[in-house]
Order: sequence, then C-alpha cells, then structure tokens
Amino acid sequence: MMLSNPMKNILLVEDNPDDVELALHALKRNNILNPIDVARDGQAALDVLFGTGGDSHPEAPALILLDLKLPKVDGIDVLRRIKDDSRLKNVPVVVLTSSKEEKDIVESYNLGVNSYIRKPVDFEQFVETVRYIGYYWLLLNEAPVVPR
Amino acid sequence: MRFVQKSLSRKILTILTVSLVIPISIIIYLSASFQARNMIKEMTVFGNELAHAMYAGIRYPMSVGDSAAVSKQLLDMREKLQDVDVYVTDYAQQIVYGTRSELIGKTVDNEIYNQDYWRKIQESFRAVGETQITFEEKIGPNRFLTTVQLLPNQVDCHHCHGATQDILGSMVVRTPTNHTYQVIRTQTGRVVLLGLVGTCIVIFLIYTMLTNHVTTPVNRLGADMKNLPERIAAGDYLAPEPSGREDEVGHLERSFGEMANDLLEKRAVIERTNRELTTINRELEAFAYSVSHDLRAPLRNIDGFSKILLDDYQEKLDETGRHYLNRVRSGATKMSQLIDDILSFSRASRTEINPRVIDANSLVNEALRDFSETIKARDINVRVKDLPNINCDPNMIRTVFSNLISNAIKYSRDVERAELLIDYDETNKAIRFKDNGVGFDIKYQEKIFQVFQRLHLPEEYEGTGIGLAIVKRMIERHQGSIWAESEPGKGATFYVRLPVA
Repeated sequence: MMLSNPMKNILLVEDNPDDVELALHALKRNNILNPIDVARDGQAALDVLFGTGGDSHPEAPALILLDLKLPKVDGIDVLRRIKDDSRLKNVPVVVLTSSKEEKDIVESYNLGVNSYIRKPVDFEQFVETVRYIGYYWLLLNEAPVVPR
Repeated sequence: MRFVQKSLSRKILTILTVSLVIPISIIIYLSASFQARNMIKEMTVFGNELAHAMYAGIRYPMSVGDSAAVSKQLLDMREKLQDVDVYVTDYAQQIVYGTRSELIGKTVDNEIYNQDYWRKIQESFRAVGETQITFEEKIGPNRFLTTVQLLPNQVDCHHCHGATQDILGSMVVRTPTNHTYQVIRTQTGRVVLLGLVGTCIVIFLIYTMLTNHVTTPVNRLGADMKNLPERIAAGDYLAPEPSGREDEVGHLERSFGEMANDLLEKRAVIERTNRELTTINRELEAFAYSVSHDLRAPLRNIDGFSKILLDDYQEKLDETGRHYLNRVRSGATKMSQLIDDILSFSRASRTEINPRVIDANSLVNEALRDFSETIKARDINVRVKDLPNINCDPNMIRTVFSNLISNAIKYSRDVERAELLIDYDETNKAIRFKDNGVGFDIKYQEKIFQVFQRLHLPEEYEGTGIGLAIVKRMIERHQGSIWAESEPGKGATFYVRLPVA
C-alpha cells in the first residue's frame, strides 16, 4: 500500500503486550510502513505527544490509535488532553478498544474522537479493520499540516 | 345515602338536632297548651265566683224591690272591674239592670252570640236544670267568657212575683278574655323561645364535647395519614404522642401510631436495601464493563496468535495440528459470542426503560423488516392482524418482537411452508406469535426462558440460548408476562402480555 506521508509516525497506545504484537502484525500485513511509537500507558502516550519537558514539541503523529482502558492515565483523559491542545487537536484519533459500552462511545464522541472502532475477536477481521483504518486515515483522508 | 357521605361532625350535629329538637318541641307544645287550658279553667272559675258574688250582692235588694240599690251595686261593680259587663234580665229576657245603661230594655238573646249556649240556657229556663252556665263567646275580634246565672223563684220573691214561675230571670256576667289570650300567647312564645335557646345550648355543648373527643382526634389522624408515605419519605413526619385514652379513639390513635412507626421502620429498611442495591448494581456494571473489556482481550490474543501460526508457520504444521488450531479459534469465537450474550442480557436488566404509548403493529412491522429477505426467500406466510396500542419502551419491545420472530423463522425452516401468525388474543389479553415449526415439549416451558438453556443441539439449530431469556427479562421489566404453548412437531405459540394503553 502506498502511503501519502510515509515519514510521519503512528502512535499506538495499548497496554496489553499481546495486543501490541498483534496490532503491529496487522499493520505489517497491511504494508503500513510508517514508524510506530508504542505507548504502554496513558502517561507514556502524553509524554510522546507533549514531550517530557522543555520547550521543544515532538513532531505530531499522523494517526493515533488509542485504547481506552489504560494504566495511570485513562484513554478518555488522553483523548481530552489531545483535543484540548490547539496543536494536536487536528491529529486524527481512532479509539480502538474492546468496549462497546454506550457511555464510552458517547464520551469519546463528545470529546471529538475521529473514529470509534471495537476490536473484533476474530484476527482476520482485525487485520481487515486495521487495513480500513490505515487506508482511510493515512491515504484517503486529507489532514491539515500540524505545526511543530 | 347523602347523609352517609357527610362529615362526621355534620352527622353528629344532625343526629343531635333531630333527637333533641323534635321531643323538646313536642314537650313545649304540650306544656304551652296545658298552661293555656289551665288559664281558661281559672278564668271560668273566676267568672263563676264573680257571678256568685254579684248574685249574693243583688239578691237582697231585689227581694225587697230596691232597684236603686241593685243599680248602685252594678255601678260599684263597674267601677271596680271596668271591662266586665253584668246585666240582669227578667223572665222575658229583657234586660232590667245593667252595668251599661244603654243595654237596659234590650233583649238578652241579641247580646248572647253563642246560639248553642243560648238554646241550652232557654232549656234551663224552662226546666230549672243547671243554675249556672259558663261558656266562651267570640264577637268580632273580641273574645269573652260569659256566665249566665239563673235567678230561681224563691220564697222571699213570692210577694212580688207570685209562686207560679220557677225562674224569674237571669244574671249575665261577661268578662273579656282577649287580654288573657294575649298573656297566654306571650307566655307560650316565651316558653318556646326559652326552650329553643336551651335546646341550642344543650346541642352546642354536646356537639362541642363530641367533636373534641371524637371528631377532632379523628380529623387529626386523618390529616396525619394524608400523604403519610411521601412525608415519611421526605423526613417530614414525627409520630404523634398518644393521648393515653382507653376508648375507641385512643385505640385508633395507638393503631395509627404503630402503623406510622412501622412505616418509618420499613422505610429505613427500604432505604438501606436501596443503598445496598445501588452499590451492588454499580459493582455489577463495573463487572460487566470489565467482562466486556478484559475477558475479550485474551480471546483476541488466542485467536490472533492461532491465526498467525496457521498463516506464517503452515509448513511446520500437519493437517491435525491445523485442525486443532482451528478448534482453538472457533472456541475463542464461541466464547466471545457467549460474552456478548451475557452483556446483552445484563444490558436488558440495566438499561433504563423509557415507556411511551405506541402502536404494536408498527413495532412488529419494524421487527419484521429485518427478516424480509429470509421471509421472501423461503416464502414464509406471515400474517399480522390488528394489534393494540401498548405502553412500553419501543426499543426494548422491538427487540422482544424481533427475537420471537427470529425464533419462529429459525425453528420452522424444516417445514415445507412456514407460517407465522401475529395477532391479539382477547381472552388472554396478550399478543400471540404462532408458528408451525418444530415446537417443543411443554414440560420444558420454564427452561427455555433461562439463560443459555437450549432444547436443540447447535448442529440442529444455531444459537447460544440467550434470546428468550432476554425477551423474558425485558417483558418482566415492563411488568408484563410471557408464556408458551407447544407440542413437538406442532409449532409453538408465544403469548406476550404487556400493559395495554
């Protein structure tokens, strides 16, 4: 798959190492070759996005794949911080989670999530889902340039 | 009937009034008329005595023929008793002497107006019967008591009148009684007035006593009882101090106090239970959430890594190894389905109900739309007859109908021409889903509505056995009921009873 912006990173926020491995595998199978940052909890994700200190801002990722149930800082709070930030609010955030709870869906949309997808148990379906996400958000969709 | 509906104090007042006013009125009437009769009797006695006295006074002058003395006696009389008329008549009933001189020379029968008595007097004149007759007369507006005293012919009269006649004449004493009647009327009026005032006072006293002791406590209890559960709920209630009375009212107060305290206690228990239930419910929700999230993750991993093994390590696995891996994957999928079903069932119990009145026909038609392709492909004969309006949460009941229709379609797929009739059963007041599918043994009726209970093998008819459990739970949350009728091979009928609008 040819990607329009192969230089930019994808941020994968996921606490379960097995899920991380499967997600990386699914991305690889779909030939999504962007470098992938993995954050294993909410705080780590915020560190990647906002930097650990100082004035220098890390480069904004092309896409954020966000699990909701995370240690330390919850996925919903990470989403809120992203959408409250003038620099990061235009970065597409796709919630990728096991939860189908209505309140999670509503809360995510209230905070301005770009997509809410429930991880299917069937791995083939999961690979398919990742393919759609990559195709849509990295190839089809035109996102504004995020300043440094 | 209207009396029964009046308030207690009105009843007491009415009963008191009726039971006191009627007998007291009768007593007043009787005593007043008795008093009047007494006065008339006294008057009569007075008239008789007056006549006697007069007769005694004029008898001597008359016996000696001293007419001047007779006239003087009468004039003295006139001065003493100005309104009393006295006159003396001869045998021809011509007035000889009189207190009023204008009467002298007139005939007495013109002056006696009560002709019945006049006839009696004449008879007495002839036969010397009674020598004194007293009677009442009415002349125009005036009433009189008249006494006629016969003057018998006595020895000392013979020198003038001879001895042939028994009666020489009569003396008439006429006393006006208007004033007496006036007095009687005034007296009676006074008695009636006093009696009524007394009665009213007695009624008032008894009424006040009764209301203080009965009506007021009862009314207070009534006011206490008003909105009691709500006020207890709002904490706006203190059980009243018992008055310590030993009668029915005291008993009522005690019972009421016990009841109110009982309610207070029950309320506290309910509140505690509610708090516990809320906690449990919250825990349950957290549990469901973690089930949905945490139990699914390992399943995803099992399936994902199995799939990667199958795809990327194909050459290292033989046929049996691949078969086992596929079994692992289908186990994971099955478990994922079960988790979804548990969540659906838990959601059916937890989701808030927003009821409104809706046409059951439209809900059934919406539910049928999801199956339109199957219905068309299998040419299922679906008939929906007129259904009532129901008061329900439309989303939930649509799911209920959808599940029942889904079952009917699923379990009739081996029938040559499947039929589904949806109508309203007036006798059972229930919406009826009748199919001609495989049916079931009715002894399993209880079982089919339980979670994950199935009567068929998964190879025969797919499914986890959650559908009817969800249906039952949703209907029960509407205070409705569901039951079935069936025989193996003869189709099944499901009855859904919901609050009809």
